Amino acid sequence: MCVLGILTREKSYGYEIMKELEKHNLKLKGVGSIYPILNKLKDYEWVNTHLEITESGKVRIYYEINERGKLQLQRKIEEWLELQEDIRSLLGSNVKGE
Amino acid sequence: MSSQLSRKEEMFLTEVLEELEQYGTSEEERKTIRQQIVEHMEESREHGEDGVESLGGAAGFVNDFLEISDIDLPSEIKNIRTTPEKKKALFAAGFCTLIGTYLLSQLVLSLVATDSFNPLNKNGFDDYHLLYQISEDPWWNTMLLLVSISISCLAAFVVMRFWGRLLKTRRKIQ
Repeated sequence: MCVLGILTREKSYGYEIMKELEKHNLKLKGVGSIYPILNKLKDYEWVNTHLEITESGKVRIYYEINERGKLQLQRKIEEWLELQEDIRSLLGSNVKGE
Repeated sequence: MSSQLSRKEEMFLTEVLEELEQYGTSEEERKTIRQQIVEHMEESREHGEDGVESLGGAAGFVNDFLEISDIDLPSEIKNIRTTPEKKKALFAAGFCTLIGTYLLSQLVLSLVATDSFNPLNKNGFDDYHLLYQISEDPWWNTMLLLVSISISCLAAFVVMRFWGRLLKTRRKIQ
């Protein structure tokens, strides 16, 4: 969900996505985890990929969210917000009970 | 792409790809992972980081990959352990098919393409041998032998290929 969220802003590549997650204190289990996550998103056809050659001659795989991905992200965000609301109401009643 | 990697990075890449191959990842998947790792190494180097260490070493990377790709590690390890036995069975099946088809082909060719079993052939054919001598005519005998060898090799190849694919499919389903 977070990776798709990053990709809604602009297309990006593995290393940059990883750094963006770190900026928001979202640490993956292992840094290398970002790549299988990206492969999974591609398998689900939520992102499109293409190769780009940088000025320094490096080849980068760019990931770009597509319409299916955007739809999926919207669903996930709604699910997440619902869950968050449920947890808040549960914890809120605990606080009141003290 | 990989020519720009250091020796340590190359070793890491080779180790990861070899391990992933053992766990049944496809060539296409490994090609993508190779590209991703090379890209990661180059980016890390540019940002003054050690790409190999940041990926948690080969074992760490493979573990993360398998976990996120929903590959069941214990059953995959079991599969890897049983693979040599399966390979032996596969070669045994191929060998048996080769011999069986060769003998069958020689027998059929003896019946339909030679006079060896012709009751009207009164001269007889004393040197008949199912394995290598089914016709009196050396040139024709050689031709028939080549036909039998070709058919049996083809049959063995087909059996091994289909059996191999069947084993792979079962492994993926498991």
